Amino acid sequence: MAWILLMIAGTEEVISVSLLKYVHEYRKKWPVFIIVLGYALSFTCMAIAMKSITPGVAYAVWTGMGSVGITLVSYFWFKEKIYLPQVICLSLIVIGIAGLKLN
Amino acid sequence: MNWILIIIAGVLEVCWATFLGYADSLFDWVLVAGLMVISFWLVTLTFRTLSVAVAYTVFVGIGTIGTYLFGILSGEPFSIKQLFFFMLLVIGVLGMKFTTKEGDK
Repeated sequence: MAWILLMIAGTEEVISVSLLKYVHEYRKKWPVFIIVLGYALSFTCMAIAMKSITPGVAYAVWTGMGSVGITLVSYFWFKEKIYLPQVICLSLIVIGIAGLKLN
Repeated sequence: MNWILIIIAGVLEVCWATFLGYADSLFDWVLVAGLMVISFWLVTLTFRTLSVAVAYTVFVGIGTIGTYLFGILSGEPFSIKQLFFFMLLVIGVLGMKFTTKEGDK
């Protein structure tokens, strides 16, 4: 159950960040409501998940899911270019954050 | 310019994330919420010229660097293992800065 909540928290983060792009790039107001709600839900789910999963592990999984998810959305949905050096740097950042939280 | 915005957003993130632990009055919570909104708003400003993947990951990375350094300064213990991952994180953020051309997305 805790893992399912953590997955929901990660997915919510990806949705909210993706919508952030709509607010500025396409000058829409409606996503703000979903973003606020999404982040509230995401943090709530993570807080509950942390009761049975070690906080460091939960945070590492959440960050990893978020970053990888957002990169996929950026590439496939927004059709933004991403190059190999950037993928390498992204991986270093995710590994760095996850490693810090796990140790 | 975009990188300056992301750095400011990251610093604000460190502020509210750290302050979150001490907040205990309505005024504190309003302050935390305000800082949160400003930091996210600054990040979205960079989405016009940087890809979402780059901008958001660097923002989260800077937030983690700051929170970690703040933790060390306020007396939390650190290990060699942590230092290793910390270096990877810093290299990742700097690398992203130098391998990304603004407007090329």
